[in-house]
Amino acid sequence: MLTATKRPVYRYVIVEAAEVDARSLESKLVAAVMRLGGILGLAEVELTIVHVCADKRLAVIRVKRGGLVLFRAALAAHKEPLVRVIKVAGTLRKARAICTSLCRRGTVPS
Amino acid sequence: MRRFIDLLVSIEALTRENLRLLRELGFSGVGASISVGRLLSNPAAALEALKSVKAAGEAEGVDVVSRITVDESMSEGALKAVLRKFRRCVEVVSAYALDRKLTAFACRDARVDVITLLPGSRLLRGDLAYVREYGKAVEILVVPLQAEDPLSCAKALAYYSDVVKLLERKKLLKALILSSGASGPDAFRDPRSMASLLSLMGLKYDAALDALSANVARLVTECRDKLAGVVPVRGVRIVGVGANGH
Repeated sequence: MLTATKRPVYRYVIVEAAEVDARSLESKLVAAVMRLGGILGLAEVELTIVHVCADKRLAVIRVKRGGLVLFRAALAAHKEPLVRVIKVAGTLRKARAICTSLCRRGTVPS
Repeated sequence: MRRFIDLLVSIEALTRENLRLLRELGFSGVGASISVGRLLSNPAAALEALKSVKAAGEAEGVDVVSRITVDESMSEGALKAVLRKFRRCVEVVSAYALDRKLTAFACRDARVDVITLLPGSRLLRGDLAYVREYGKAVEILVVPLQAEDPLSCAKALAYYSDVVKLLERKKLLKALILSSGASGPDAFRDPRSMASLLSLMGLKYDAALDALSANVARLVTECRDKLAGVVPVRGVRIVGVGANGH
């Protein structure tokens, strides 16, 4: 077990994507980060899809806090828009709550 | 709260749906850019198109800034004629730093508000002195960083990093603005992702956000004040008119 100071801190990025098949979306995101930051960048970001709301095309992506800037930069530098960032949360619980509220309200921008 | 403005989007891309998309992405303003070639080929239609985009923007709740972009090499005389004829028809005039002559003229002439840098453009010491003196903006674009070829993308990133470092060294970061340069909705990105990209070039995240918000807003306000006559000449601002009209 890592000590509290060594434990990585994550951010949870709530995104809207055209397709939310977790595996294919993750591979596309990995490719985008690899293109801008290489393997070193990928290690800095360490992205994982942790939650998917398929009917509203929402996903929650966990990234390392230190890699958030690189992750967003990779999204901006990608030649086509992969996902649209809706919100960044500090905890998975909060991210899920935002996702649920967006699903309930049906206010996800199309 | 920050108000983000993407100052360079081609007017052809600014349909009503795309204006809504930009608003949803987080932009409250957008620069509707018309190229000088299109302007010269049919001035009346071009200016009419700007007016209709402005009206559409108003309906969608997006502040549209009209802009002429000099995106092709032209002689000093031809550019002077364009400026003489159209400067007061639009809010912002910008020029791409395509060649040395055009860059030098654009920096020297107070009627050009923005110098847009493409990878490979050169800004000399004198140009930067004019940028500082006239309060111009230096614009960098996201589009070259979205290139298919990784090598050209890397070259653009390296070039823009050098520009950012240069402006930081010269204490001209307030003159830096970042725009998408989009010619279609595929190139639209949210402002914070664009700022992230800029912060990778060696800028603090707050300064990067300023390049998409405060710096652009300052430039637009200044240009609008000039057009409205609040700033009749450089360095003079009319703050109010006295009772006797003086």
